[in-house]
Amino acid sequence: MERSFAREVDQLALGAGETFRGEGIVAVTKALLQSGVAYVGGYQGSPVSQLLDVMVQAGDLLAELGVHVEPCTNEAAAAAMLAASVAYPVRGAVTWKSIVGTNVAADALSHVGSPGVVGGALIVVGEDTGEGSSVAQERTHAFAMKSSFVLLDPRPELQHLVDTVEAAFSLSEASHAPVMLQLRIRACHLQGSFVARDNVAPAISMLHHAEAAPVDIGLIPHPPSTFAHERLKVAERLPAARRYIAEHALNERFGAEGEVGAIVQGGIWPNLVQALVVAGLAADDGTPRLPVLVLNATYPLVPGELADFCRGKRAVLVLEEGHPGFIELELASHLAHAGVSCAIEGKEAMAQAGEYQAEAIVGGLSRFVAKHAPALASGAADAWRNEVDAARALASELLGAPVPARPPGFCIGCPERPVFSALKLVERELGPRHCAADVGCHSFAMFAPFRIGHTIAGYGMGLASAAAVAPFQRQRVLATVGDGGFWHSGFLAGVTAAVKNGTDAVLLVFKNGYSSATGTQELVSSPAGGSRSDAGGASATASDATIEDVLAGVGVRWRRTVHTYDVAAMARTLAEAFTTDEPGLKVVVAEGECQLERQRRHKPRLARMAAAGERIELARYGIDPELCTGDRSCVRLSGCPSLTVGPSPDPLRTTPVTMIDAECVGCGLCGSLAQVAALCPSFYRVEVVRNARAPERFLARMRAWAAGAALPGETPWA
Amino acid sequence: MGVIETRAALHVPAPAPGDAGARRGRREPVSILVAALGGQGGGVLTEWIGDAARRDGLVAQSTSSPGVSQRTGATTYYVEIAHAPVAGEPPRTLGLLPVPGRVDVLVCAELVEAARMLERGFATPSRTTVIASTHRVYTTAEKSSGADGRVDEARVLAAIRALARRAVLVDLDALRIAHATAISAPAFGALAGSGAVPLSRAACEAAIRATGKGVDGSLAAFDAAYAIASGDARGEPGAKDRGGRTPAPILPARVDERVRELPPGVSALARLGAARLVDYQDERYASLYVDRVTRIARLDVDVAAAAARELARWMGYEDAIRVAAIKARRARLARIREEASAGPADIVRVREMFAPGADEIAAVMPAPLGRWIEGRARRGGPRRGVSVETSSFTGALALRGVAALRRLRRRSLRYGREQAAIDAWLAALERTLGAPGGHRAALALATLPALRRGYGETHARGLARYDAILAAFCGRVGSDAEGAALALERDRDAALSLPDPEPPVPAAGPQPLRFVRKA
Repeated sequence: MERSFAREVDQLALGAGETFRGEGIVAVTKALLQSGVAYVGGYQGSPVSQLLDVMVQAGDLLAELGVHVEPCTNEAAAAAMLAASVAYPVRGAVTWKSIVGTNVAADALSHVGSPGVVGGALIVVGEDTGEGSSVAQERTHAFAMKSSFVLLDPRPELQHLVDTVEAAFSLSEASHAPVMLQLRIRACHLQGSFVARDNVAPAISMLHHAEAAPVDIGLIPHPPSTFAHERLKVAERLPAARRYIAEHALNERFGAEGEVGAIVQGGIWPNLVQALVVAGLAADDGTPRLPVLVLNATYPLVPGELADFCRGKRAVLVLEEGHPGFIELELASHLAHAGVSCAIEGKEAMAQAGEYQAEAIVGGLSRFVAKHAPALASGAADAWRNEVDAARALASELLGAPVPARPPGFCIGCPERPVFSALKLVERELGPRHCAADVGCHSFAMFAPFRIGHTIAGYGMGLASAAAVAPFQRQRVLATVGDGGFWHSGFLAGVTAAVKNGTDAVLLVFKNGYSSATGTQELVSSPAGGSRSDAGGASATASDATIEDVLAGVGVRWRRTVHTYDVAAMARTLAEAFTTDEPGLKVVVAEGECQLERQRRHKPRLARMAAAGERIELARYGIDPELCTGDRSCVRLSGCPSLTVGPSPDPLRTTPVTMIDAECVGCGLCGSLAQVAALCPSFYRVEVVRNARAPERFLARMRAWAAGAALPGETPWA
Repeated sequence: MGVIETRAALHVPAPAPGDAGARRGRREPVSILVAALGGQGGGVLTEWIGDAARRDGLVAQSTSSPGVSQRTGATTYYVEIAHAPVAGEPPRTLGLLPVPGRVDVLVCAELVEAARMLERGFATPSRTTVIASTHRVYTTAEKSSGADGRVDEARVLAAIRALARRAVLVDLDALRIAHATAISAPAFGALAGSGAVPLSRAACEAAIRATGKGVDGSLAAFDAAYAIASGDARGEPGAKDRGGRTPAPILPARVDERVRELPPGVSALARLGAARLVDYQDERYASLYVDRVTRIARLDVDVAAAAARELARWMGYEDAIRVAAIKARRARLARIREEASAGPADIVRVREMFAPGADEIAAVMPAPLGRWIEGRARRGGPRRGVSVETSSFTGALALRGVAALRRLRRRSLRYGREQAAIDAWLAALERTLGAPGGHRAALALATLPALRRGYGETHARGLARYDAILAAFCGRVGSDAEGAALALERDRDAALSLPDPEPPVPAAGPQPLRFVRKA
C-alpha cells in the first residue's frame, strides 16, 4: 500500500517513561511489543486493520526485536498461527474483524483451543457493529464460551487497554487458554495517550531459533487426547483463569455503596457514565451515585466476585450488549448457587438488541430505578427526554422531509464503477438477472444509482452463494467477487466448486490489485512494486496475471480479462458471457487498479515533476451547460461523486444542470458512457500539458491559431 | 461568506473566544460533534483539537468510526475536552459517543450533514452552538432526479437557526478553496472563533503548525474562519447567489418592437427566448416564436409566460447543428482554458465525446433523405464513440461545417416534425383555454414540453411519454379539466424525475437465452 504509517511506527519505538499519543488500536499494537510477542498475524478489516498495517511498515523495529509479522490470507490462517504457542513457549497475537473473522477462524480456533497453549496467545478482535457497519451484531462471547477461551472486554481508556493487553498474556500462560481481547470500533479509533514501557525482545524468535519440540500426542486432537482436553478446559484452565482474574483484580468497582447496582461490560462503561450523568445518577465528574461492577473480563465470570457484589443488594442491572444475554443468564445461575437473593434486570429493562449507547441506557436505567429504587429517581432523565424529543420533532417539522441518506459509494475514478455501468447497459438489453454479490467495495453497487446485487452470503462467497440459485433461474446468474475475496476464500469455495460441478454462471472478478475496502493491503496478486512505478498514473494491475493463471490452472475454459474503463468492451464481454452456449463457469476479470492507490502514488509524482519543470499531462472532463438538458441519465449510469448538479446559467431553464466538479481525476467514464450509451454530446475532455518544450509549444500555438481562425467568436447567449 | 446568529433570548453571554475560564467550575466535559463526509479531513480536525487542548493544559479525547466512510459516505467524529485531573484523582471517564441533547458544539462540514445531525437530536436550543458550512455536496438521491431533487437549503438553514443556541453559518468550502487547504482548517478556525470551546487561539495555531504540512494555507483559512465566527469579520453574505441578473439581450428592431407589445409578465421571458432563437436560427425564426407567444398571450397572460419559456427551449431543440454551433465557438475554448486554470504557456486540448447515431444524422437531413436513413437505421446497442478535437483546425472546421447546415435546417426531417408538434400543442393550449376550468389545465399543459429533452434514446422515450400524456390529457380536458390537469402534472413529474427505461422482462424459456444478435 502507498499509505504511510511513519508516525505510528515512531510511536511503536517509544521507551519507558515516554508518552505515547495516538489511536487505541496502535496503542494495543505497542502493548504487544511491550509484552514480548514473537509473532503477530491476522487478516485486515475495520477496525483492526491498522494493527497489521503499522506492523508491516515497522519492519526495521521488528527485525531488531526479532518479531515475525504475517499478514494472512484469511482469518483461519491467522488463527492457525497460534499453533506456535501450543507447541512452544512463545507469545503471539493475531487479529481480525469480528464476528465475521471469528466465524472464518472457528475451525482453527477449536483446534488451538483444545490442546491449550504454553506461550501466551492473544486474539485481538475488532467489533464493528452499529454505526453503519455491514457486520451483524452477533456475539464473540459465544465463541469464547464454546471454545473455553478467556474473553476480555476492557474499559476503553488507553493506559487501561495497554495494561490489559500485558495482563492478557500472563493470564493466557497462567490458564493455558488463549485469550480474546474485544475492542469496539470507537475504542480502536480513540485518540489518547499512555506512558510507554520498553519493548521486550522475545526469547525465542527470528533472531533466537529453537529446536523442534518433541512430538507430544497429547497435543493432537485424536482420542484419547481429546477427552483429556475437554476435562482440562473445565477442570483446570477456566478455574485458573478465574483465579488470575480475581487475584489481579481485572474487574473493577466504581461508585458509591448502595442497595441497587449495575454490572457492565468494560467496553460500554463510558456510555454508562454518560447515561448516569444524564439521569442524575452520577456526580458532574462522572462518579456514579450507585455501585457499578465493571467486567473487563466477561468470560469466564468469577462467581465469588459476582456474589460479593450482589449480596445485600435489592437489585442489579446487567448492561450487556448483544443477544443473547449470556452474562445475565450466568449471573442468575451463580447467585442461585450462592444463595444470594438479589433481583436481576437485564434484557427485560434494556433493549434486547442493538448498541447500548447512552440514550438506550438512560431508558433502561429509568425503568430499573423506578422499579427498584424510586428514591434515586429524579426528574433529570424525563426532562432530558422531553428536550430531545422536542428538538427532534422540531427538526423534522422544519426540514419537512427525511434527510437523504449518504451511504458509502465508489470513489471518484474508481475502476469498479464502469463495470456496473456496463452491467446496467447490458441489463437494458437482456433484462434483469440474479446477482450474487460479495463483500468488498463492489458491494456499494447495491446502493443507488446501480442497485445491483440480491444477496451477500459472506466474504468470498459470491459464487458459492449462486450455486443453488443458478439451476432455477431463467436468466443465467451473475456472481461478483473482489480480488480480496477471491483469495480469502472465493477461489476455493466458489471457483473450484463451480468448475467441479459444472455450474452454469458468470463470475465477475474485480481485479483492482489490493484488498481495498479494508485499506488497500497487499494480495498475492498485487502488482509488483516495479510495475507500479512503471505504470505511473496508469493502472498497474494488468501486469499481474496470477488470478488468470489459477483460473486456467483449475480448468476454467471461458475466461476474459477486460480493462474496466473500456465500457463498450466490458458491456460486449458481459453480454457474451450471459448468452454464450459455452457450458460451465464463465469468468470475466475486470482489471483496473484501485484509484486510491493510483492517486497516492501518482499525485506526489506529479507534484515532483511539476516542481522540477518536467512535462506533465493532466486530463479532466467537462459538460457544456448549454447542451445539458438535465435528464441526469449520466448520473444514474455512472454515479461518480464528481458528477454533480448546479444552477443553470440559462435563464430560460428552471431545473439545475449537471456539471463536473474540481475533484475529477479524468478517468473518462462519464465521457465514455456518453458515447457508448448515446447519452448526450455535452461531455468534453480537456487535456492540459504543462512545462512542454518550446517546439511542442510552438506547434500547439500554430494549431490553436488555426482552430481559432476556423471558429466564430460570439458567445451563445447573453 | 458567513453569518452568526445568537438566540435573542440567550441569558448566558457567549464566552469570549478561548476563555477557558468560562468553563471553569463546570466539571462536565465540553462535547464537540463533528459531522463530515469521508475525505474532508475530520480526523485531522480532531487531532488538532486534542493537541490544542493539551497545549492549554486540558485533556481531550476523540473517537470516530471511519470504517468505509472514507469512500464519500457520511461520518462523524466526537471529542470531549475536560480539565486535566488533579494529582491523585483518577482521570475522568470521557465519552466515546455523542449523546442527543448533550452536545455543546456541533461542527458540520456540509449543510445537509447538519440537517442529519438535527434530525438525530444533536442540537438543542439550550446548549448547542452549531457551526455549519453553507455549501452543498449533493447526495446521490438528490443528483439522480431528472427534475430538481435538491434539498431545500432554506429549510435547513431555518432548522439550524431554530435549534441552535448560537448558529455560525460559514461557507467553509469557499475558504478551503481560497486558501488551497482541506476543510478541516477553516472548520477549526470557526470552532476556535466561536468561543464555544475553551481553546486559546495561540494553542490552536500551534497545533496547526505542529502538523508541518500545508501550514500556511491552513493557518490562513483558520484565521479567515476565526474572524468570521468571532464576529470580527463579516464575509460577503450571499456568495452563493444563483447567477444574478443578466442584462436584457438586444433584439433586431422588428422583433424587439413585437416583444415590447407583449404584456409585462411575458415580455422579459419572450425577449430571452427570441434572442436565443436569433442565435439558433435567424430573425425570421425568432419572429415565428413571438407570433406563437402572442397567440397565447391574447388569451391568458400566465399561460403565455409559462409557454414562452417552454417554447423557446422547444424551438431551440438540440440537433447536431445546434450542438456543433455551441461547441464551435472561440469564446467557449477560452472559457474551458480558464476553467482548467491553464497558464499562457500551457497547451490545452479539448475533445468532444460524440456518438453520432443514424437518428441524429437523419434528423438534420432533408426530410425525404432523413426518412430513408431512418428506415434503415439499427436501434439500440452500444454505440461507437467519435472524438473530435475542437482545438484543432480540422476538428474546428468539421464542427463549423455541421453548424453551417443551419441554412438548410428548415427543410430537415426533424424541423418539420417539431413544428407540427408545436402547432398541435399550441392548438391544444387554445382549446383548453376555451374550456371551463381551462386556465389551470392550460398552465399544466404549458409545462409539458419539458419532457421533450435529451438526446438519443432518452429523447425518444421523452417524446413517447409526451405523446401519451398529451393524448390522455386531450381526451379528458373537455369533460374534467381539473382531473386532466392533475393527471398531467403527476405523469409529467414522474417522467421528469425518472426518465430511464424499464428493463425488458425476459421471455420464458430454458436458459441460456439469446437476446442479442451474435457478433
